[in-house]
Amino acid sequence: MERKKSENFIIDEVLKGNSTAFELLILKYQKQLFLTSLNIVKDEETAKDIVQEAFLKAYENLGNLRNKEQFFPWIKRIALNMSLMRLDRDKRFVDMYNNEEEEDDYFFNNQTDENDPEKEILTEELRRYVRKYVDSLPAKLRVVIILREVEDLSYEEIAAMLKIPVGTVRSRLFNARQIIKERLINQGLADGLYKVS
Amino acid sequence: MACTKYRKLINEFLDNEIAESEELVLLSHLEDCADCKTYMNNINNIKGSIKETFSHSSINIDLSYQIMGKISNKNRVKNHIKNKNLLIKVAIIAISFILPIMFGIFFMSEKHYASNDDTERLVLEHLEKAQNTQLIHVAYSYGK
Repeated sequence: MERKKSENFIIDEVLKGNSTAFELLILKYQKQLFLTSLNIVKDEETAKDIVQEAFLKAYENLGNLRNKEQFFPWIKRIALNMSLMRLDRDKRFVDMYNNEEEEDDYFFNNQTDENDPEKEILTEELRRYVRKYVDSLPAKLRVVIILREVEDLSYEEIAAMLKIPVGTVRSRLFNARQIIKERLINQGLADGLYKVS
Repeated sequence: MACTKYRKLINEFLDNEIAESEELVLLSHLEDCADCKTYMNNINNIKGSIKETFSHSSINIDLSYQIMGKISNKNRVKNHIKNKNLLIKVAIIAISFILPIMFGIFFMSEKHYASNDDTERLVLEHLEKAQNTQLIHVAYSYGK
């Protein structure tokens, strides 16, 4: 509660004309917004641009924010909408995680859990493949699964954001998970972690 | 596949989006179907892995300098426009004061000329009545 109050204070200060107070909000939320945007657009530079634009838009429209405690959800929604618009406008994103070089030295770059190094390696490998398979999904499926699993949006919120029926959200999620599950099983990651079904 | 319907319900159940009536149907199915239980476990694991994988990033960024620079630029432009608007307002107020005054001065002088004309006409009428053509001629030439 105290934390929210301090955020209210910062917003009040910005609204009074003390624009430097806004820097505290940037420092606090930029990384989360960057990650949100990066998960959608899959390009670091584009994600950075979006974070900057989102903060500028938030700064200009701060007076319209009714509930000051909702600053983060509000700016996150701005960043998400911008990311989706950018994705829609430009589909030429490079898959930064499908880098062969990264795959080659993958095992040498990871520290293992001394207690159970085998399990740690397996978990890391699973994460790597999950990222790879999610990133290689068709954009329509990928965006829905990111919004659901990472951003915790409800079916209705996703439908509203993407301007598609709730039934479409449901079927896209189902299909996306089906594809990822099949690929993980084919990769052999089913052994020990995923029983085939 | 007989379980397809239940597989969809499992997804909705794990997303907390399932209708209450369907939840009961699913639960009674899961009691008898080992495959669907495995499927549910798989989807749950996938959900967890996606969340874990995409919620963290080792990339460190600091865009505060760029963003604050853009904000101060915008504020500068805004202040410039504000000053310009203030200047325009002052000019409008000044004009709105000066114009009526000038108009009043002009109107008063017009009235003054008109009253001179009225006097001249009265003199001429009086002289015409007096039928003094000589005086009329003199008055005309004087008037001109």
